[in-house]
Amino acid sequence: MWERLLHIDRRFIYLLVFAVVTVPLVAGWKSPPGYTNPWTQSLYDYIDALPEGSPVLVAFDFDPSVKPELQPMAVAITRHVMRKDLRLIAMTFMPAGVLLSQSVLDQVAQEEGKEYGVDYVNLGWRPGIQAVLLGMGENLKRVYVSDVKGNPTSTLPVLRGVHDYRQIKLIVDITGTGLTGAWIAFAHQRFHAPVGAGVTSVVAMDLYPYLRTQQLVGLINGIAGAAEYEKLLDEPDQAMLAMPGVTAVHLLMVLLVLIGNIAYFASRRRRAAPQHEPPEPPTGEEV
Amino acid sequence: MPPPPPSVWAFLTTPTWEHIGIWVAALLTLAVYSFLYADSPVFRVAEHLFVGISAAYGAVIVFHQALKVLVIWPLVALVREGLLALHLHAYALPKPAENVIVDFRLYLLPLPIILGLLIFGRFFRGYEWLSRWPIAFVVGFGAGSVIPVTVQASILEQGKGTIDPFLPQAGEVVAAPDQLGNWLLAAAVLTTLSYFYFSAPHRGWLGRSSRVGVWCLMIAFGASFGNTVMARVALLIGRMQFLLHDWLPLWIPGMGPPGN
Repeated sequence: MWERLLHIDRRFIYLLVFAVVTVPLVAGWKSPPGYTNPWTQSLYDYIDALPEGSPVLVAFDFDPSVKPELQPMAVAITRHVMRKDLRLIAMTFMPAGVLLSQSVLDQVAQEEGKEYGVDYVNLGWRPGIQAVLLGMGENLKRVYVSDVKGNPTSTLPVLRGVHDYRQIKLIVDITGTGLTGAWIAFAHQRFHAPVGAGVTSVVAMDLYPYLRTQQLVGLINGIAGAAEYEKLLDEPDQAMLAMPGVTAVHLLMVLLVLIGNIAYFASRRRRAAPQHEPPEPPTGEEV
Repeated sequence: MPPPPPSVWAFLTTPTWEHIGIWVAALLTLAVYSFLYADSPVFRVAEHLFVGISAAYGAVIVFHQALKVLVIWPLVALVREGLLALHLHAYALPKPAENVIVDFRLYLLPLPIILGLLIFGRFFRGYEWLSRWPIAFVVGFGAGSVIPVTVQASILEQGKGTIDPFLPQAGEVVAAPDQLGNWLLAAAVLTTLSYFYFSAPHRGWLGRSSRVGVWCLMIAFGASFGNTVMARVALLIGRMQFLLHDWLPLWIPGMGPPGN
């Protein structure tokens, strides 16, 4: 039996994962996380403590390949910023992130009754990451002469009084890439702007050291972090809907790893055990 | 209350662009997942479409958000400034070009444009060397701007962060669990660094230390792998949410996102 388990068709595992993911989604289970990561809490508290009207820059540095993981946290952060009546300045370093950021902004602005150009703006995409990051430290409106809709940034009420990083009270980078490192190095290290991040779980491991040194004010780690943020906002949404599936797949994986290991060791012992009487050792008389 | 999803018949007779988009996205999703069963022409079509559309979309964004804003409109404004300076008849600026800031930087615009055009030297036999100039500029600027801040942010600050907890401020009390964490972190940093020290044979105390370093690395890789699994599962769930909550209601009445 163990041998057969070891050579099971991998497509059977895919079917199991499919079933385990589908059932909670069809049933519509939403599970609030039982534990809130202190770094998620820390980013939430930082935004929550900002005075009304403070400019917050949100970098939507993601594209469709990581949208399921990052869009829920992008929505949650945008919702929090708009609900607190902060001024939201959106931008991206990913060409494919322009429309994604606009869809998030449109959705939340409609919910919260915010006006484009007055409460929020989308600056869009510009090439040259280092040049843009350095340029924004000198004059944001020179780097972004116009917004994504072609409006001159010098006339937008949302950008009134915003000249460079000194006026921006927080930068939140939402990304599945290593761009947060660039934000830390340029915006924080060089211009002392406070930086927070919402990242895919793959990237999160690289950023934990920056939390300890307070180079990051907070961090949202993947879909679980997004669910924690939704819980803090008291607004269950896509991330909480995804969490039962994530939990179920993790349990399934642990189970499969256990079964795989037991099967491996059991079959190895079986192979090592003698199947029949060993041959008589040579006596040396034949030589 | 959102409107009920249309029936299959309603979709077939009066399709909307949104519904057509959902159907195309759903069929492409299924085509990509067909690879889990076996490689097939269906998967290949989806793969090539993805690459092609991504490139085309990127090109459109680059044209509208970079070329137009950073090259075309400033150039239009620059030529007009030149005509005005020569007291010649100048045209009225188109609306987007009015945003261009006219100062000494505008007069430097031809330099980056020429530098950018030099990269096309690769396409002309005998002139390939021209493309090295813009590449040298980009590499030089990148190295010059990145190295100092990266050393500061990722080496000096991190080193300071590892040492700082052992030098508490006067009157500062560090809790026992935090103290333990600080010691563990410092030990992990030192042993891991010792693993990458290749100037002496890994024997004796260096051998033991590097072995502990390997364990620290394995723990970090394990945590990283666990996070990667969570990330991949989240992507799968995202697609399943789309299929179950956006696509399925189009052809199975009654199916829809929870709460509808």
